[in-house]
Amino acid sequence: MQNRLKHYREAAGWSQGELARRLGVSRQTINAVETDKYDPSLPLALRMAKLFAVSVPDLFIDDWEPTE
Amino acid sequence: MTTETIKKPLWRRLILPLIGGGIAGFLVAFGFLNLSEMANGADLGDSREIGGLVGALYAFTGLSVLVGVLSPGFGAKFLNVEDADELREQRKMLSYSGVAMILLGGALMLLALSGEGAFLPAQTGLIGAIALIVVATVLSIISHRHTDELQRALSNDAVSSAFYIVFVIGGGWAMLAHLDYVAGPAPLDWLSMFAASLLVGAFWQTARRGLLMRGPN
Repeated sequence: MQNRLKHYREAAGWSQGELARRLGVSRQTINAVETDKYDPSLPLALRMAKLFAVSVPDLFIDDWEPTE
Repeated sequence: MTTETIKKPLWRRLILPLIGGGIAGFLVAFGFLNLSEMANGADLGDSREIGGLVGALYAFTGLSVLVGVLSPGFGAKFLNVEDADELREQRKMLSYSGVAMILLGGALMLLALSGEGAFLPAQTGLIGAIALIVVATVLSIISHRHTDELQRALSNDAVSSAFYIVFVIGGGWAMLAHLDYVAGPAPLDWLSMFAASLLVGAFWQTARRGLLMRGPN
């Protein structure tokens, strides 16, 4: 799933390591999320959104629309 | 902490791990087969040799991880990490995991060299293997506590893949043996399949997520 994590992280002036430390995960996880290789769990996605004071749909891009 | 990595061509990133892995794999196989011949003076048989080689591969992989932890700059050249800092950041998890792999490999090698017709008595093999597996299990649990959600997801997917690999290979083999087309797998073959399938599953899942070629090497 595409996301804007890198955009928000860079806007905050944080390195991947700094963001990883704040979220309590490895830098490997941040890198994998930013490069669309891993979709984080819902709790981690919520923490990311909370950290950047945005909503989850602002952070993670999903093109799905309900059919009705 | 480093966040940017220098992009090198694929062949340059692959060549060192491939050559190093090939040479190390040859030396490990050569070493185990020579050890078993010295110990026994006779051919151990395919089942024991394969079991021992899988054990040696585990021990070698664990040793490589420990070398990487002790010397992150050097380890980043051949381990699948972003950079040396990643090895420093994950030192605890990798250290426990590396030792656990060595112990599991040791247990498999010990079992391969124990029992009737082999170098060590069955009782020695049993006690030694159980002791190694218990310590390895404790270390694996401690290591697991230092993992984060991506590593746990990879681990779960690797175990899931390993189950399917054993189901297809072991199950297929057992099916053919049941119908008397081939000889059935020996008990040690099952242990070798469990261990080997977990390694294959780990590589498979890491590659599937595009995480196999991350390093600066």
